[in-house]
Amino acid sequence: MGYAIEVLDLTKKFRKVKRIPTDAGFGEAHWIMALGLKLKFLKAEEMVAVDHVNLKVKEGELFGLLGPNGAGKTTLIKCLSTLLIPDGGSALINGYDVLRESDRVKRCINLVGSGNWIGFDWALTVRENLEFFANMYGLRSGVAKERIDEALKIVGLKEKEKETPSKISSGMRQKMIIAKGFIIRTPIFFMDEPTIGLDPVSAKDIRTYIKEKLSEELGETIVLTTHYMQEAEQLCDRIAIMDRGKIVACGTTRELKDMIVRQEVIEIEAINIGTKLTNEIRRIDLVDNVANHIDDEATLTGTIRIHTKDAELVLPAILNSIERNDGKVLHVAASQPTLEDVFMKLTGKGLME
Amino acid sequence: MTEELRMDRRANLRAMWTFVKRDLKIWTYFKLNFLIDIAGIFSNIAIYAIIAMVAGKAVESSLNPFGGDYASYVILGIIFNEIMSTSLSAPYWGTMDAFWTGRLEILMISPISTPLFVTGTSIGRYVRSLINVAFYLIFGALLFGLKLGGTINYGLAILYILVATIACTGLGLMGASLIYLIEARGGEDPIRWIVGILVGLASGVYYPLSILPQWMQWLGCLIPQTYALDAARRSMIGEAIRAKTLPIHGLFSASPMMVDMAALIAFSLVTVPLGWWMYNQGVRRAKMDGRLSRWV
Repeated sequence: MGYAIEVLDLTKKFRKVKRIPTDAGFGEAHWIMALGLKLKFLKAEEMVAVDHVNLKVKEGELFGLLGPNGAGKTTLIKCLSTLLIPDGGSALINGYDVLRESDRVKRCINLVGSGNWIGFDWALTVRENLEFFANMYGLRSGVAKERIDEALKIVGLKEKEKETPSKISSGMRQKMIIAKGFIIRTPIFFMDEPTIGLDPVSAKDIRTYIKEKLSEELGETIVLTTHYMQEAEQLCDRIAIMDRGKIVACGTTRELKDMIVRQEVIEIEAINIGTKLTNEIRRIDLVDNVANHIDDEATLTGTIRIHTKDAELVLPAILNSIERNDGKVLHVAASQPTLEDVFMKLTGKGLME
Repeated sequence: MTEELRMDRRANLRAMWTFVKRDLKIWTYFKLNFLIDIAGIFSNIAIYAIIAMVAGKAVESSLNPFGGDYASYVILGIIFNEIMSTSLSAPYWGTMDAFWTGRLEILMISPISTPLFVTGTSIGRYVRSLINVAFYLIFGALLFGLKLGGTINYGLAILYILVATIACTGLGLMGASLIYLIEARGGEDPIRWIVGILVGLASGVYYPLSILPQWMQWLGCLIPQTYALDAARRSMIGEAIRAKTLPIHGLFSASPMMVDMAALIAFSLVTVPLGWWMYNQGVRRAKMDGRLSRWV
């Protein structure tokens, strides 16, 4: 079995031009101010979105890209789907070079993004919108009808097929985007945070379809970006963890979790767990990493996950800290390592931070 | 295993028809707007018919090469310009519409080619334009006395307008490229703006060029619309077919119709490759800077 995607040293930078006033550090250029000139200077700043990424995805593999917002997942997907031209490195999609053979690459890929009704026409019904895209991908009308029926059923939009996108909820519009992805069958399928904004039942149905139909039955190579670790864990054969444009680890869920096998994880559910408390816990001896998830912003109620070499030894100090910060402990437990713990160990922060 | 997608000729035609259906559905979605558009055509013709009644006599002598009737002259000018201005603006508005609706990226990764994308996002506007032309002709002929000449050559008029449309599409592509190159996304681009001013002032849509100062007549010679309007009118209402109506006609011994055609072909040979090159450069730049969509 060969590779469907091969990425070698891929880099993508974005340049931002910023206006800076003359008095912001021009040193020798006092004469400008002396002349009373109100000049503005332009300064180009560079932001590295994808930083020397190397990656190989096998044919038929369901591959996950896990990382927080701004990690570079979408930019990487856009580079691989010919929507962005990389600044360095190369990538082969189904054996075709993304730069030199972009027309061939486009015949091999399908992309589902996230974000309400992007790309849909307000004047066309849900079905007409899907028919539009079916025709853009060269589907014959019989095949298109069959696939649209199936996709609408999977995402639960069959009853809304005659509505226009403006008359359905934002979650349903996201389902339209997914349905659009399901009617196109290509060797490689990029899914950029597809289940974002969906209710848990729909998200589960869609994950099942991706895994059982698209991956196992049709053998599509699927690259799924997400910041839902359960989604990545449940679906993906292998996962790459991205942070600040770099791939910091890549492997199966088991391989990734083995990276923190010598660490103990404490999970504390408590009230009033603000940033001050998190920083204080981080300073306690033998504590390696700390991440918190706030479930209720009003009372700052949520969960703190702490990586340590010796849970028994550090626990009293942690509980003291919580008490000192007017917190209230609801539940304490030793936890199994999750992908988020792997992420925390590799990057020093939580996925949602 | 799933296979690579293929877009054969039938698939391309189906895609094109889908674009047309979509545009017509959007155009007619708000019934009142559709009716107002048609009423706009009626009122536009009515205004020029009234101007013709009031001031038509004053320019009659200048209109001799075109049959002498101002109402017919201006109605045909508006009709021909409707088609040419569509080709000037359709690539820009097609791309803008795709950009602002978030469809640009989706279509750019689909297997349809860039020429098909540009044609597809523009074609609905051409269809609308042809429907408008039909209304102009009906209102013009039935209600405002559009008089066509005794030696009407529809085929020749269509040929001139067709070649001019190709030349204007080149200019339109240049304008559309500025969406990517200089982020001209506010509904106007410098190329269409300048050409639009020249068309209004010095192409002969609303009045014969001979009433303008010589330097303005030469300005009119810088755009393809002037030649197309001149030749197409001669074909529809012209009587003195050899009259030299543009300053450039005097430079050549060939008939004015030949000069007009040569100019239109020359414009097409320059504007289409240049426009296409600029458009592709624009797409490339947008892919470098991440500006194919509103969101990176």
